[in-house]
Amino acid sequence: MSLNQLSALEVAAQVRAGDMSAREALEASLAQIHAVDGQQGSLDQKQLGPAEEQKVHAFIRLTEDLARQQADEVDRKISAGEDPGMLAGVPVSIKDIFTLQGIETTAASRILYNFKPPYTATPVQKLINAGALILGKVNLDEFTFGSSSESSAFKPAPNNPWDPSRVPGGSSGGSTASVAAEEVALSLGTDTSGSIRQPAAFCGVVGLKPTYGRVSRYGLMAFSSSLDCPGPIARNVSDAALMLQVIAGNDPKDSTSSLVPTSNYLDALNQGVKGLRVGLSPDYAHLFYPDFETGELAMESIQKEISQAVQHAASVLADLGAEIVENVPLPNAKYSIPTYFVVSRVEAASNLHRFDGVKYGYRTPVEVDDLQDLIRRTRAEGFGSEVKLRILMGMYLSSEGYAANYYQRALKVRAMIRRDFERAFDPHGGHRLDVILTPTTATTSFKRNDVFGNTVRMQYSDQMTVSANHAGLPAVSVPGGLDADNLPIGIQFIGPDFREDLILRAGYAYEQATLDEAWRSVRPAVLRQEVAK
Amino acid sequence: MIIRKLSPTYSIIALLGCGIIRLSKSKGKPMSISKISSELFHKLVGLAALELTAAEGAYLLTEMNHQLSSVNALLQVPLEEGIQPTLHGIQCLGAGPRADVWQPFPTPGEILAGAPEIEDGMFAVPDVKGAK
Repeated sequence: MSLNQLSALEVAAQVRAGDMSAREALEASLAQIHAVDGQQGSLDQKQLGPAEEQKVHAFIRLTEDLARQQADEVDRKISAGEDPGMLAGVPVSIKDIFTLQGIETTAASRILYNFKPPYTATPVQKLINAGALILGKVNLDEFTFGSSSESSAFKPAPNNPWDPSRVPGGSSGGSTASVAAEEVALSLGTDTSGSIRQPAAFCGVVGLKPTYGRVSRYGLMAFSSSLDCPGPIARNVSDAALMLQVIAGNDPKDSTSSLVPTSNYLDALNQGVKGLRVGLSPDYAHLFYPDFETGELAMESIQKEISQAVQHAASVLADLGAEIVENVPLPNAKYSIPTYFVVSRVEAASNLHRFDGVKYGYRTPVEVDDLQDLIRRTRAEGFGSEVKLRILMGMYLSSEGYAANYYQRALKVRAMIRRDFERAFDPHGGHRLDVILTPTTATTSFKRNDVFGNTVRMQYSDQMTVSANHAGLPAVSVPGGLDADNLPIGIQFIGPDFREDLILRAGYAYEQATLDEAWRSVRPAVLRQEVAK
Repeated sequence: MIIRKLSPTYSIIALLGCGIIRLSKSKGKPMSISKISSELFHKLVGLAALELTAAEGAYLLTEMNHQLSSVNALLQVPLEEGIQPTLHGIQCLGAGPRADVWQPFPTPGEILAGAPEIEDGMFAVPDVKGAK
């Protein structure tokens, strides 16, 4: 087994014990990046040759010098007998939506192509303080607006390591691709409607969206402020628990970060699922897609292999002593995407007013008439189409004459989505659930350019994940098998407020009980290619 | 180019306006399955401080109307009696906003170094149209 296949827990244990240096872990990670990642994303798009088409392209920017400094500091602490931290020597990538002082932070947008923030995001700082090695910034959909990572202004967009002709999902596609391709052990992502869990499912890794407020948003460029959640991406459940342990907790710099104490997520893993009540809902068995003329939602089936994976997971958990509760009603889940279209666009339009070519980032080079002309031209040249679309939609939906019917109504439907979950988790209610088991996505990864451009179809790829964002609940996607094309399937556990320990327990129990299943021995295509060389 | 100096705390939001804006005379009009007209679309483009090519505009208007088809499903939702709108799914359990106390940023030079244009320690921009 190569160093890059080690889990974060194993790397940290070996580094802390002095059996491996942080420098060794770093150089192994860099070698893997140089072997499989290929050309980094840039604004200067070049035609890719056949070999580059097979690469991962997860990174926008490598921060090798910074990582070497961090590795040397970890090794110095080990030599000095000091505590190097829980993530000592663990290679990590950061979605390029988090600030890192003095390092370009682009949000995958031209409008921030040269932005060097003067401060570091709290979750990133916590990773650094814990001894992690920050290998670089990874690609994403522009400002996180998308579900395939194809809307990035920095090309090439990331590919799916399981099949480079397919997307890794999004918006944290660079994060999940870098973890799946064993370039890093962990990545920091964000999840507004499923942007950690959907690409985790597509790339066969673990992705956890914490409870809203569990992890600080300080230094995260805001998309939809009432929905955004930073969270961990890892190759197994234990590593996701480890990373959450490091990044969770209150932050005075984020007024929405919670004062609720964190749990010991690693200790919770071994508590098993005996007696845990696991819900299955018929409202997560279908996709509800709109008719463009009538606005009515028509039902579509989800991929059969994914339904089967969920049923299999339920039977595995039942064998471990969990109680499976079927037919849990979550009737408003089908309105989660229409609600999201409204809430997220209104919040995005407000947040994106700040980008104007005055204080930082891109400014149009052409001669302008006045300040407003400068702002218009800068935004026209600096923003991609998906960003413009969200701004325009948000302004429309929040405007006088329309807000009452759309924005105010969406906020009420959001409350109803939340209420469905409260009833399901109510310890005195009819179902008394500990967790809810669902598919993470309705399909496995799709081909590049198959969906991109159809913004409605793209948004509906988050149908299974976005309700947890509306309700503020924690949810985790764990690998649940492969389809007939050897593409990963994700299954999702949703838990009550601040009960990340419960969803991690369920995910870990399922993971450990299925370690010997044949699909787990299949490796991503880009790694099989590396072995063949 | 006419240069007008703005302090680092200046926000362009004040110029663009934020929150609820008036777009049409349809205030109070009952909503049905609606489409965004080309006229309204171009008004939005101006308010959003954007410029679009013809092709980009046509694509974005089509996509907006497709998204609106999805959004219109909300009009069919039977709202639960007494349901109140929520801005967050979960009640905010944080400490709340910090005290509104001015604190100097330790390295303002880092902020100014990232600006497209500065003059005398301030952001520099062209004049505002019509301003004296």
